[in-house]
Amino acid sequence: MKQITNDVELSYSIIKEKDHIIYQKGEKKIEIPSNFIIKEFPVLSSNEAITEYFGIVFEQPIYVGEEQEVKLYVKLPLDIGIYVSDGSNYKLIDVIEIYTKKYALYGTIGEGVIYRYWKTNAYLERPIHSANEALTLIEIINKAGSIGSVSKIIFNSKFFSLYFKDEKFYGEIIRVTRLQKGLALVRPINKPTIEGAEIIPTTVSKGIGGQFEMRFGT
Amino acid sequence: MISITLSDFWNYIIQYEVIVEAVIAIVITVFIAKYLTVLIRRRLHEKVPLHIISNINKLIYYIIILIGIAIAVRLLNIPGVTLTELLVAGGFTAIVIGLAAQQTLSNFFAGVLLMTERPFKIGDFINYNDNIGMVVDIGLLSTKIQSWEGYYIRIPNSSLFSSPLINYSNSIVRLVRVQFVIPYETDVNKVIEALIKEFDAQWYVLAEPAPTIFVAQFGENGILIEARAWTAGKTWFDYTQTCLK
Repeated sequence: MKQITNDVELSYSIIKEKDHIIYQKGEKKIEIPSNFIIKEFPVLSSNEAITEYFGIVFEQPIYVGEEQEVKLYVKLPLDIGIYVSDGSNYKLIDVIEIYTKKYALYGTIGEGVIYRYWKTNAYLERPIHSANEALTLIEIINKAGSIGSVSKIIFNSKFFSLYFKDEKFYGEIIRVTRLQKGLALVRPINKPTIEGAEIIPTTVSKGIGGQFEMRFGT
Repeated sequence: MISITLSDFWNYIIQYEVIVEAVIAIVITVFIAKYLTVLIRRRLHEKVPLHIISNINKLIYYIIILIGIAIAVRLLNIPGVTLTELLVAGGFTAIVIGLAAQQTLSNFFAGVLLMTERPFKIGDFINYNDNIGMVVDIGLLSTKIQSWEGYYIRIPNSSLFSSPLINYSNSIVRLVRVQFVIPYETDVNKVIEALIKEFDAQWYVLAEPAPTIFVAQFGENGILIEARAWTAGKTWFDYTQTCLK
């Protein structure tokens, strides 16, 4: 797997002592027994303590004709997750933030949800992406009896897996089914954006699920 | 009326087997009560908040212990004390205690209602009669909050249930309004532009609904500017601290 730290200046260190490993970032210092290892894996740039929802906000709305399907690519931001592992299990101990985070409200003040706000371009052809981005395919299926415009897609990041292939990272395909005006279902479909990509071990357990109902419009 | 003769008392003493049975009955009920409370905690811990489980367990524990005591009394067969008499006496005592402890009972029922309605949970920040703090315990009779200054405030449940209460932690989003005065010589547009840029750079200011900044008033000392921005309920504290700076 590619070292994702290459083009980012990071201020943390992992020191291997005789019987333990020390992870240090600023004043934060974690000591781990030497039978564990510390590994870096990409994580979707969000903060689960604030929200588990991630929102892709398009620079321009996407129009989808009646009973039509549109496939497009987006680049999602990745931070660096620092994990402790015993070889098969992983525990996130820290996140090196690469992106400045913004959040937004989807829905009403009383019933809405907070989501990680990520404004981006959508690409009809597969674009080149950097090591700190996960290229993700979005399938928009319009089952409503009208032309639909999609300006944002909210999904549950807890059920979103990351993959890697040829030293690049990819997201799980996200399917958006527009059922009627103002109502769409969004869910990651447990398939990588490109064929043959391998799942990142820290996201294996995420499995299928996490359908989010966008009932306040797309 | 209870009347014990010396022979009755002697007969009673020598019936040590009965005493052992009564003790065993109490021990068994204590064991059952403890087992049930553990079982309830294990079964409910993922579905029901911890403080509610704790209060349910307390109730169940004491009810079972009371049943155990009643069984023990029945087994002891104390001369002049029948179970019926005990129940009547218990009922009478309950009425007396009920009258004497009206306020306590009112707190108890308010506590049960608070647990059902759940206007707040442990960890929420609430404001009751200008007592602001984090809820640390919701008991059957009272709720304890820890103030900003670190001291504990005990509020009777009946007061919490019957009076207005603000829960700061319930909101998904919160609006923060800040007003300040700038001199008339200052370029208002530049100030607004700078503020929008600053809001955009702060992670805790929501991108949507977008912040708004406007001239609220032309006063004697200058132009009153009002800035309104939304923040997530969870990040409200960080935001207000920054605003204060």
